[in-house]
Amino acid sequence: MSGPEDVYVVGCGMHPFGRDESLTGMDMAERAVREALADAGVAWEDIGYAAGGSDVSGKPDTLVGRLGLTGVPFVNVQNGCATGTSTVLAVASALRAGEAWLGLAVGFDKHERGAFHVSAARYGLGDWYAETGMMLTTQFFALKTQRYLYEHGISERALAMVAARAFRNGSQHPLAWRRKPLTEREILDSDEVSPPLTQYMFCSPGQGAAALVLALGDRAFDLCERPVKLASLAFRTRRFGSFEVFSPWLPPGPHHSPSVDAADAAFRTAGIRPADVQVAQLQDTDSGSELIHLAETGLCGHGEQEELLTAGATDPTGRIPVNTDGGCLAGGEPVGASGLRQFHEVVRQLQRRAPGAQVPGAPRVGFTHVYGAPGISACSVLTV
Amino acid sequence: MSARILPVSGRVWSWTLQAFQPKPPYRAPSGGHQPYHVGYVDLGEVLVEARLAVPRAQIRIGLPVRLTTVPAYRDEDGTEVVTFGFRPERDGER
Repeated sequence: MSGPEDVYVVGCGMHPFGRDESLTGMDMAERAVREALADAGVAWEDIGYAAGGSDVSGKPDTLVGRLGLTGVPFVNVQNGCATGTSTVLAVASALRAGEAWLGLAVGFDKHERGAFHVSAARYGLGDWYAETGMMLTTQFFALKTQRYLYEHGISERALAMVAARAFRNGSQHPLAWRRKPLTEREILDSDEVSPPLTQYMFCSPGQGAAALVLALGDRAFDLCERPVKLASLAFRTRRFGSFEVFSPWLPPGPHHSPSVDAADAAFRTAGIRPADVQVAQLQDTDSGSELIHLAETGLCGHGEQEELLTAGATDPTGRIPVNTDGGCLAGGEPVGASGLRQFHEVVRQLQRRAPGAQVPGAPRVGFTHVYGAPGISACSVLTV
Repeated sequence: MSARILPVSGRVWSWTLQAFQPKPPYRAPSGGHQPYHVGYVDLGEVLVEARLAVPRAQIRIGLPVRLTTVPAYRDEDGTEVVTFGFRPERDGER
């Protein structure tokens, strides 16, 4: 069953996503870590390697001041939307390399309200690009979605179906932020942000934290009744010809996303086909992104999404349940925590302990996918 | 890197609207922020991102457009700064 090099998730913790002005990002991270340690039945002193990520809410390694000054190696990660997944990669690689047998990955963030504020210089662009009003992530998602719908004959209703399912799942999930179900009509009729995307088709920057305890080899089974195997984790950056945020120009295409490369590598390493996936988490910064990622990761063909959505195939009871916790749309996106939220949800689904809607029939194969600026993606396959 | 002359006309490859006023360093025009269209224009060998001076009723993927300037903002010394954009191509322009 298990090999000496296999890494397992043996504990999970999460601070509910949303807004709580009385707490700092670091407060939420501490709670998530303590919950993950308790879930695994271990103490902070047992952790032999740690990695933490936050975009804007502090240096993660300073958490040792709260958790205990054990001298543990603690790597800080700042990797955009792939931050959380990168912490898992760092810890899993360290465990396999023999640094320790028990590790901890944590991600947290607390963002200000409204669209992310970005500096042109940080992305190697001239000030003119932002001053003339073209440097907005929301525009990018809208432009990419607009073209995708056109090329694959998908209607705007499909975008509303994605968001409606997200809020439906979120309404049943105690850790989600947006807990009110919305109808497709309400979503389509909400304020136009950047067509074809409306207000409720976008996630909001939010706050939250999530943590995982990872263990190497057979000892995972001593700690946890149902450890979840990290069958693979692949991280990729963009290659020439990808269509990315903040691009004053693009090659004519076809455009090739790093999500395609990361998903392909994750499935190949795990020896699992996309068709075997029974519960999936996909980056849904907006409804259009989720539609595109469904096909880019190989979970369906390009243009098949609307039919899947209409048939309820992506619902928790469907053939390929997607974002069973409501994803970024219902959870908001605390950048550092978002990827670990995905792991938390998939692990709980595979352990049959889902906090929200449980996928029926004891699913054995889960998948996570994050995608971020400017052209990074990380995917994992989790199994029991 | 060397300069390369691109064609002045192409077709809308994708488009959207900027409805809300962006945060700084965006600089609104002197009359205040008005929603504006942006998109990628297919110039053949490259897709260029630009402001689109095209009315909503007319805007669509595939629309033939031509290079123009659009007002961006008023500088501290009163200079009206313009930026590049594309407008619908008129009959017989190509």
